[in-house]
Amino acid sequence: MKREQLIDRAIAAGIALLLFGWWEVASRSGWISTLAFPPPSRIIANFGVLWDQGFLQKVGYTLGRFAAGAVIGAVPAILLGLLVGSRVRLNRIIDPFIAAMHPIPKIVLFPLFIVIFGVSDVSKLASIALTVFFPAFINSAAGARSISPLYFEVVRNYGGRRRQAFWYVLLPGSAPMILTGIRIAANVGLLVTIAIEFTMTSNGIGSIIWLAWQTMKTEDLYAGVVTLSVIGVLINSTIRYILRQVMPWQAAG
Amino acid sequence: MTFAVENVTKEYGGGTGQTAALEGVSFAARGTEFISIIGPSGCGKTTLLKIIAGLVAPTSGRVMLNGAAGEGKVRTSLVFQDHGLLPWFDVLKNVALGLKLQGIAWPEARERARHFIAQVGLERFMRHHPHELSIGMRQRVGIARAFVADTQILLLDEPFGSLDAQTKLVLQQELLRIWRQHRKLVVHVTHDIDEAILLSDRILVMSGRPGSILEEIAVPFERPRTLEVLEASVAGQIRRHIWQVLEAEVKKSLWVTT
Repeated sequence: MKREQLIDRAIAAGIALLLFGWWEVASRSGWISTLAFPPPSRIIANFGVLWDQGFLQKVGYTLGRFAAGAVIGAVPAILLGLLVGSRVRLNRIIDPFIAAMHPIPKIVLFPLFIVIFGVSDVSKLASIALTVFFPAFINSAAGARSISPLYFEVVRNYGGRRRQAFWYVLLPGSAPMILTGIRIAANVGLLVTIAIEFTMTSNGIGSIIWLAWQTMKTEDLYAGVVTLSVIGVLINSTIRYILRQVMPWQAAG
Repeated sequence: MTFAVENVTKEYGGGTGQTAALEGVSFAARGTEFISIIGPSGCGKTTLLKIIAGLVAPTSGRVMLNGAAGEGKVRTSLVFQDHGLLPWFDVLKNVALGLKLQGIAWPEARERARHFIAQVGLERFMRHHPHELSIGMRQRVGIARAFVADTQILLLDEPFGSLDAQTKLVLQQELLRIWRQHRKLVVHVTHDIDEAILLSDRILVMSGRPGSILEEIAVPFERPRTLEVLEASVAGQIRRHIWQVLEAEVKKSLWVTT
């Protein structure tokens, strides 16, 4: 990192420290409500208490639910997106359906899924999967559409078959957009996972947060928020890391 | 090997929007000739190459190889105008592309690709991606890729069209040197008269759209050739002759009436 970047990072860290320092002092001396804003030191200490109550396992429930729903939604979304994006006519036929369904916040269909699948993991996973599906599909299709026909001609000219065009052109050519789609899908998918946990489960981060407000244990609430923030950052930086590693042509341009 | 394009016509679109790109194009070639096709821009030269390569179907007419119909079956290597390197592969993988698509195992494909990358002097850039190379270097990778695939016919679609004049002179010599070592039939499309004279055994002059072949000119110089051939009086005659045929066509395509 360059000197200037280091200084800027240090400034950002300083601002954060000041903010939390002020919060700590303000909360301890009663300038702000301790109930709404417990001192950061107490929030940190509370992690130890939660840990003993099996906090990690609850985080595991959330991540498991999220990951399962995301995979169920994203894998078909990417494959279908590539197919639709690389066929002009198919794209014209499918597009109105996507345009009609995409703007619906998929969480509103959760009650309908409960009617269909009952109060079960199926209805939860279906909601997460459907939420993840659209951004993954739309971006994969856009990625496939953006590939210059020239590259397909190159592969055909050198004796490539349809199946080979998928591995040599369609997939790598769409990969940057696919990853963008996955990043957006992961963020909305996590949101919906938590929203579902607010209402329908007795485990997971969402239920910790929901229970925390009902019992006025604000430290628990903050523990959930901090954990989700860490998970979100990890997901985003992992995807960016993959982008840099496997797609240097993209990272540069 | 004998190769022939027989009465190839190409029309785009249907009904009233129909336009003819090629009109009854015929020519024959044998062995390992170097043929250049020269014509005004938009005359359908690229379409003709794509028809030979089997990437575009002709409206009528045939491409024959050794006396049998071969559109789409003639194995060709096309060097694209805009290099056509796959941006997600490094130089080595791009050059080995034809071999990999033929199902040749990676160790062998890699060795053969390395050989041709060395031929164009880019060993040091084997692991670079196209975006890290200059335009001239990219086109050399494109040429290496075409030679590695080891097809009987090499198609060149204005490979030096987007290069500066000096780079162009160097790459023309490089192409001739590699071609001398790996002889094959070359069909080269260009709009540069001197380039056609320098490289070719025969020059086919095409009309403006719809493209048809107006004239065929033999270039008598011995090989290997250097830039000096362009100073010979025969070269001057050929140059003048080509321009006499082309000038009217170019003006027509530009709607110049005087």
